Amino acid sequence: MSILPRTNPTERWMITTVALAGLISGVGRLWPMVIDAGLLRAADGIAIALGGWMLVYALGRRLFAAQLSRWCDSPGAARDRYMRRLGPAMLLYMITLVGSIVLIKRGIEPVTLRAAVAVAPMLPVSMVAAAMVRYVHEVDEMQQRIETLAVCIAALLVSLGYFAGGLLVVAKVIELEAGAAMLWVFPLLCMSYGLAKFFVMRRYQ
Amino acid sequence: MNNEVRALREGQGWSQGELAERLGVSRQTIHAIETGKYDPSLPLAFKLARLFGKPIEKLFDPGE
Repeated sequence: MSILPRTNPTERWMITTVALAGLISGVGRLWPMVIDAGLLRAADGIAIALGGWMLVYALGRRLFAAQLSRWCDSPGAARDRYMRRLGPAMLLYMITLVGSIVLIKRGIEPVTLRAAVAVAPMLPVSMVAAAMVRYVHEVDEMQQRIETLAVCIAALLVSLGYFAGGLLVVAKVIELEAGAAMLWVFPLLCMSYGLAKFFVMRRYQ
Repeated sequence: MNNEVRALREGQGWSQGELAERLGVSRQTIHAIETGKYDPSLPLAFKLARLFGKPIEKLFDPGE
């Protein structure tokens, strides 16, 4: 019998990540000399952000179970394979992101090594992107149309938003830090894609 | 595009899920085809026609 019944692989990976972050936070509180301050802050952030998101997700799943089963009815095998690929990639992303932030903050002198450490989270993000592409290849034709339309809308929204942001920065209406703005491209694209998919799928209900 | 998919499926006593499994698509796709919200590709339309043993033009009516 499973310890965590009625959860999918991604949920189990997220629970594991939150538990790991919570463990690091707890150990850091009890024995501050054991855990680096940067790592402790990162673990706190992951535990709060991912834990909070999971709470909202669990509530949403409970409240909208019927709608979700209708909207998320892509072929089970393709979805399961996607979830199995996504889970480890997301966990690896958390680990490399925290590791990268901690090491960069401590300071790395050689530029090439600093660059390698800074872009380390790109490896799991590439794994996530590859899992998404394989998922789109494996789903049926209508689902492929939905995914393609959602990605197109998301790409348009994000690029138009960034274009508008760029124009406002040039006109000195707003100030944006280039690094932070670039870091938000992928998360914004993922969020816009989720939102666009929700509306596109409604067309086929 | 109007079609006879629902009537033919029900004639066979299949659920949407069963038909979806036979065609290798999702139940949602079958629902969308039956309600006319999604027009299948030519290969999927031929698969449907072969499964029901009918010519493709008997299954789908493009209307005018």
